[in-house]
Amino acid sequence: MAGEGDTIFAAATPPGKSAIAVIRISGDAAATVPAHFGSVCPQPDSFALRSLCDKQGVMIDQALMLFMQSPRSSTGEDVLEIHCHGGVAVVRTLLDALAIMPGLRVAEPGEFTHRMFHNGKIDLLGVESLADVIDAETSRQLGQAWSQMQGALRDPVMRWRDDVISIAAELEAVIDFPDEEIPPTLADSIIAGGHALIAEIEACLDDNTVGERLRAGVNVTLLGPVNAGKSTLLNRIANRPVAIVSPEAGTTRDLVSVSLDIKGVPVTLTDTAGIRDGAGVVEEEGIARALMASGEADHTIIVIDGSAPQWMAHYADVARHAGVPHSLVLNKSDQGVVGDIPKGAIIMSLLDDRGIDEFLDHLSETVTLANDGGNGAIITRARHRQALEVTVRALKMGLGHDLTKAPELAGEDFRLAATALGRITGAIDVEDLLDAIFSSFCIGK
Amino acid sequence: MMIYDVIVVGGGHAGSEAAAAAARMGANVALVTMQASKIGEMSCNPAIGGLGKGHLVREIDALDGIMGLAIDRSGIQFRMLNKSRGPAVHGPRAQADRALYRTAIQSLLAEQSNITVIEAAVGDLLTENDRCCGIITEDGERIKAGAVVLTTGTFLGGLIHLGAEQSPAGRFGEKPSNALAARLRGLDLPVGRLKTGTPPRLDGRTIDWNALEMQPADDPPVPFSTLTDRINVPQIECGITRTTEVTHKIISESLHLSAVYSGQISGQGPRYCPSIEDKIHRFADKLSHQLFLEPEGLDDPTVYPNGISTSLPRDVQDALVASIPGLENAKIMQYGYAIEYDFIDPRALSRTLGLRQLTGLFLAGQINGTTGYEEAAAQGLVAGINASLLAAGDEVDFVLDRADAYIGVMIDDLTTKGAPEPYRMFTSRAEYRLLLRADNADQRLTERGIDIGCVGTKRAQHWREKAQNLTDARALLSAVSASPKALAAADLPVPRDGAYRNAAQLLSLEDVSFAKLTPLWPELTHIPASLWGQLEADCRYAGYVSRQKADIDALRRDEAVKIPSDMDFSNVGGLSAEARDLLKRHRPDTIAQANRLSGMTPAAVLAVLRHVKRQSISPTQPPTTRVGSV
Repeated sequence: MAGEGDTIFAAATPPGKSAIAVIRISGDAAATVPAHFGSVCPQPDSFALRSLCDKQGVMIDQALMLFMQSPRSSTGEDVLEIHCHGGVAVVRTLLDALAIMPGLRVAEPGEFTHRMFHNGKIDLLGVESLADVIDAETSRQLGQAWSQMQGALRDPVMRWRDDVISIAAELEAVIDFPDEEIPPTLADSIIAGGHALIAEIEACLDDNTVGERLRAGVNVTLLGPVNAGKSTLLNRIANRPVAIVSPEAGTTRDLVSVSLDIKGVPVTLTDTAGIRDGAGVVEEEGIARALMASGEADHTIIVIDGSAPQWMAHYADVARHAGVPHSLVLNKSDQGVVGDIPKGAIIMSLLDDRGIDEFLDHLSETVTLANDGGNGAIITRARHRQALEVTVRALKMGLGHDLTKAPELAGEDFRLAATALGRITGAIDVEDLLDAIFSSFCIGK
Repeated sequence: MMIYDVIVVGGGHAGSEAAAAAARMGANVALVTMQASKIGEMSCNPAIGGLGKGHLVREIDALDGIMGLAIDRSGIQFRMLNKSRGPAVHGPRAQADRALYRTAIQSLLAEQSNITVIEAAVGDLLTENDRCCGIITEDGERIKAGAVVLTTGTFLGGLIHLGAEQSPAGRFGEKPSNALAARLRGLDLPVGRLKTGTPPRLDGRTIDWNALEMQPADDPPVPFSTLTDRINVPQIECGITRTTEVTHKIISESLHLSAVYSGQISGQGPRYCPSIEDKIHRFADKLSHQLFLEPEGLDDPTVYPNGISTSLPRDVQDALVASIPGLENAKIMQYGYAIEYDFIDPRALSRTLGLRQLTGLFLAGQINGTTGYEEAAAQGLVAGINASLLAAGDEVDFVLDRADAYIGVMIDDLTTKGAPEPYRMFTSRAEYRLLLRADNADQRLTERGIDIGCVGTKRAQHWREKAQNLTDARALLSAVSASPKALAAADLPVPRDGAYRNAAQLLSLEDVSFAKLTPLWPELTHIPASLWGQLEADCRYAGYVSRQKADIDALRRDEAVKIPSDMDFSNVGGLSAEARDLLKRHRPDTIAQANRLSGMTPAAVLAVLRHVKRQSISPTQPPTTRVGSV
């Protein structure tokens, strides 16, 4: 990012008319800003009501200013906040004036957070959680973001890292102090400790990716033969016309999505092209995309015209292509459904508004992400998952060596495990290892 | 006035190695010491090597240093520690005959034609244009040189504690260098205080050896130096005994009399070399501690009881020794003591071991906060080489990095992290432990030494022959291969996957050695047996080492980015006040070093990197100096 030593500023509130708008300024020159408006900087950590004027002494606004002195501020630098009236001209005039002050420039997107991170105000997990707090669209997403910020993953990761370090330290003591009296049960304790740790991390990995899906949202795809009523269903759910609906077969050639908040879980429901043989080139492309979407979705709902005499064959045909897991909706029940109805299938008639409630209940059950392995999901990103998987693999490798004959190879694997864990939040240092060695053994002649 | 290329002050392990290295580099060297007869003296434990330390000695040897040769001429009990474990953690160690070791060092120095030993106490430094250009002895004599290496050990402001008694001293019975200490304090260097201790020495003739378990030497003893064919010194056994409940009671009741516990000593002591009072205080649940009774020489009755370092008063030392089985009637020849001394925070040094603040002055050994002969000697070697390069006006530095050698790990640790406690080498300090082995020190370093000029013709020739043999052997190991069926027939179980495997691949398997392969391929016996161990280790770790290669490449890239020594960190944008302060205080040489400063954030390192890159493309900037490591 260019000019990292610059003082940066930006409106913290969205553009447009409002009662109050906030402008944030961060950097060494922040405290000099009030003087440019013919005013005086407030005392650190306090608000002051000030009149802000332009160069000619003409009043721009009367505003509250808050000054936070480095390092006790959100970015760790000097921060000045101007809480002005939210008029378009007020904000515009203040921002224009700031832009020509010496040493100041408009902040790039994310630059305030960048500085928080640079100055050690938050770690990598903190940056991620802050983004999640701001991006949260549902209450459960917000809850997850804050729990992450407060250490849902950080705490166990730090603990695991300590565990790996203490296991590694036991091993290093065996290596570096061969003439000392290291307890003979040490290998057993390393193996037991290692396996306990693996079990604990694996239990967290076995969470059905609930955390990641809650953060990113759950994708549900509607799949089915042409004219089964998928688009109508989507429109009914969304309660607004999002897809082109017409009785002519094969209208929806591309993918159309709608975002839903289902009991706090963000759900993207995607309509797809109807599947049939003998489609045109454009439609074939649409069908290919439909199948791909279903393959990538967390859940597929197969919609079938239940009144068609061969619906079971249609269902079998679509189910063969559909991603798993999937569930079945038998539509057009107003025209009568024939044959054996599979357990769990939803009987629906969009014409009579029948089965919509059942469908929503079913959708809600499917996506409420209850199945988190019983541990409460703490992994919210693929990055976390990969690091934990590397950790488990390395620990298993390490414990696979003969600890009496090849402790140096096990040590290498434990080092890798500790590094992988450290990468989630920070870094490991060899001094950590030595500290652990010396605090637990009486070593030295 | 006398003029030399390099002056080395101090004749301990750092000083001897520094003088020898500078002389091998072609410098005219003055070795200034208070007592020439004490050159090469082992002031504490009469042993060389161990885990990490043994690695250092092999590296010194690979660079044609003298420590390995000296111990090979004086070792009376050679043992390879961790022999049952993998070769990366084998630790060569030998107990020395103290007198033979001293003699060996003195004659190895005498063999160098361009070293002059001067007996004098150094009182001051000569400086000219902000550069150190010599010394002044306490007698007022001025000696000039292109560079000075200070290796004053514990002699700077040394203070010995024995119970409540205190006496200024560098070693027992030898006076400290207080004038020089005052002069260094005047340079406004960051000075700290450390402590260390030593056990009482016993009269071996009064020990009941028959009551003790004995530990024999390895047979045959494995030498330290690649130039030593075999060890000719007779090998002896050491005794093993333990402290008793009575010992612990005596110590617990007298704890308040110990110089360390009475608050009389302020310096920080090493955790890995605790006094017996420390062990009993900190690990109260441990009912007994082991100690080794190590004879100090073949014709010397003195015995070093390794494990009971103490600064308790004399009468308590008498009682505690008598409480130990086998030592009931043992006579103490010299009481144990603790010593406090000044050290210079090594973060004031660059990786050449030259002081940043005063060009021409190099520091090596305990003065930099390390403990141990091997750590001292390794620093002496590096300081001696760099001092002679500077004296010769050469623009090149000799710097080893963390992937080159334990020496590189140590100097990097010292210059980036300082010495919050006396620094000792361990194998766990090395990230690339599987690569930095005691057995391959010559493969890693001798060619580097030849390039810089610190390796003599004898070793160079010896190494080149070996290098050729290694190349031939590796070619042969990849050339011979067999099918799984044939291998199974030769009792080498490998997966029946139809894939042919060559000898190098087979050696990477656990439990496969040369001896198992020679029945299958008799031509392998043409490879000299002395190389078998090294080749086995290379093959064994090949997988791990290649996995580390990416890390090492990244390290080398960062090491290659030098931070100009005159860089003004105030002008670097995006630095927090803490990071700026940290950088100003420690002045890292390279981006990799900046990254390792504790308290440095990755973002701050990036900011420095960007600044350096911007500077280096500006045409007014002089080209950066070449670093010895590539």
